[in-house]
Amino acid sequence: MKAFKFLFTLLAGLTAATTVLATDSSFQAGDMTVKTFSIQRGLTKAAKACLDCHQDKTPGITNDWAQSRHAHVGVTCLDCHQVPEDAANATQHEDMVGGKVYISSLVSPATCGRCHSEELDQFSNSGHVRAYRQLIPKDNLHALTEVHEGRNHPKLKGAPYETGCMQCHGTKITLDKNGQPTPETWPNAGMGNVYPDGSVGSCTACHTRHKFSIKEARHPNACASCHLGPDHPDIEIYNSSKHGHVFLSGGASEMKWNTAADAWEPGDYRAPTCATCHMSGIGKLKTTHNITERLYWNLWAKESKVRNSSDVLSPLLGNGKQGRKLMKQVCNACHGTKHTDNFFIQGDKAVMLYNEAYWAPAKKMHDELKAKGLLKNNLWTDKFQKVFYHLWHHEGRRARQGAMMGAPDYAHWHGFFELQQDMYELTGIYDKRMKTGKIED
Amino acid sequence: MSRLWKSKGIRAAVFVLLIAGSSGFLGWIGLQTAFESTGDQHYCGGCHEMIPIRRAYLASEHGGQHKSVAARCDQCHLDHSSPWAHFTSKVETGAVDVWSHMTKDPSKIDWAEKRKHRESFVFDSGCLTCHKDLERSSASNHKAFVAHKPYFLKSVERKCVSCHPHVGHRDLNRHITSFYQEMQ
Repeated sequence: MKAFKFLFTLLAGLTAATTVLATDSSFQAGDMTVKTFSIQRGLTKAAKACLDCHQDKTPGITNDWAQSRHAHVGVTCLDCHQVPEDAANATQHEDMVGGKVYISSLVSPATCGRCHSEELDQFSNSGHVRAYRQLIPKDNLHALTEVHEGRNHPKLKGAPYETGCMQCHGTKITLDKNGQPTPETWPNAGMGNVYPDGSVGSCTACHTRHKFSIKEARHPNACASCHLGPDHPDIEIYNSSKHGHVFLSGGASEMKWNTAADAWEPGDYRAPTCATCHMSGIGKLKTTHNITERLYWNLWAKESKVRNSSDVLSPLLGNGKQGRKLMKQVCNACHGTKHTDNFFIQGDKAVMLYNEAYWAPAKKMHDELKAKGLLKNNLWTDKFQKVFYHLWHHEGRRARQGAMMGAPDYAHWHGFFELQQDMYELTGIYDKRMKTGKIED
Repeated sequence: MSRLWKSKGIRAAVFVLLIAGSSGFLGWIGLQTAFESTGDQHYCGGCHEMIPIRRAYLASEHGGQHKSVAARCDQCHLDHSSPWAHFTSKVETGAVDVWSHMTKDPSKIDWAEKRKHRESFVFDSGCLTCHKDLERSSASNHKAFVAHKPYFLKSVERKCVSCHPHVGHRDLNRHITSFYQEMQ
């Protein structure tokens, strides 16, 4: 018994001496061990209470947090989740009703920005801010998701928007009468969420809670959950580009992911990721959370124009000429100037060809048919309008983005090849309707 | 010396200086006294429209809930960057308060909206008068250090209350709402 007591004292001493000590393995998932721990360092009583209980209830959260930089510097649950009593989203933990601590499951960008103020400022001046707000005025989009995709179902029509659009674009998060987020608006990690405190954005879209790993945010997969698919296959484009080729064929394992921001340079990475070119402080460039800063074109609009606006709500946000200059600085860390200049000459040519030889004539035919009343009201049953939509929204973007990010198959087979097919189809329908004055069956 | 003193001009000059000096001194004392007695919660909270604001203040750390140390209204709500700025901000805010008190219906004021402009009526120079060692002392507190670094490097445009929107008044919106409900 005495020996046991001695052992116990020794263990207790060790716990106090080390700040984080694994004392028990609860279960194992793959080679990951989910741990319980006892932390004495830098925690208030209330913050410790969260951890003590949540490592049993939600060990996935606490173990993620324990590996985060937040845990290193003593940022705890309450630092992010505590809200004033009179906040719209203030709720009380069921075990702490009547106490002074009010919390919310919602953590807004304003909260992150209390410590990460520079990052928030940069983000707030980027196109990502528009992710939800640019959807608000689009009636035809709401018709698509609710009437057509949702089949106007009295109760279920919200499903396509809530499980699709909202998860990437975000939404205006609404609260029930208890201050809890409604299932129609949360959970989502959409980039452009409008939070109850009025702040806009979603840091966890890239910095997944509760580890907030810099490696994860720098990995192409951080962007890939939204930048993929038939309409903007950016991860597919990256994977099939030379950069992706190096990354996927061994470059990823050679990466030094955790180098400090602004000090991440070639050598730390062999293949650049999305974050390298669009955000990182390569060479003399400054790290930025404004992903618009290094862009020349808008490559997703119906027609690509050079960026020239300081209005954060404008699709042409940015300074194209300056953006190109900054992007070339990234390229030049690994490529000679001739290589870089010629690459952009090739890409720009493809974008301009799309604008002039596809978008402009297709739009002209579309407008002429419309003027003559030769377009159906329901565009999703009208062959001309369907092809027209695919021309800019799918094929046109694939050609432009494939060309500008070095993915030959997307520029060509998924892009211009499909575009020429679209054009012949549109021209055929147009000629027929103009000749007969009727919409074909 | 005595010859100098006999000169009428010198005597007049000394007299004028004495009068000016002592009236300046008395004026300064008067002003200080006036400022002192019109800058705390007893004075500012005397007008009924300030009642909920005072209640929220008294419930907060800055109102004395933390170790019985309290900040005065004017320590946060006046500019302390220079004696002149202090003087002009006192005159300006005082005049606005008196004018609003006499001409406006406080129940019609959108107080929550006004709080969005808090950066214009809470002064960092006031905060930093008490929290004067924040820049240095935060180095020993990792999270405070990280959070305040861009502020002291001036790489962001933030005021103290940008990131500490509720400081000084606990549950102010709730106090304001319940006060005007009581009034009805």
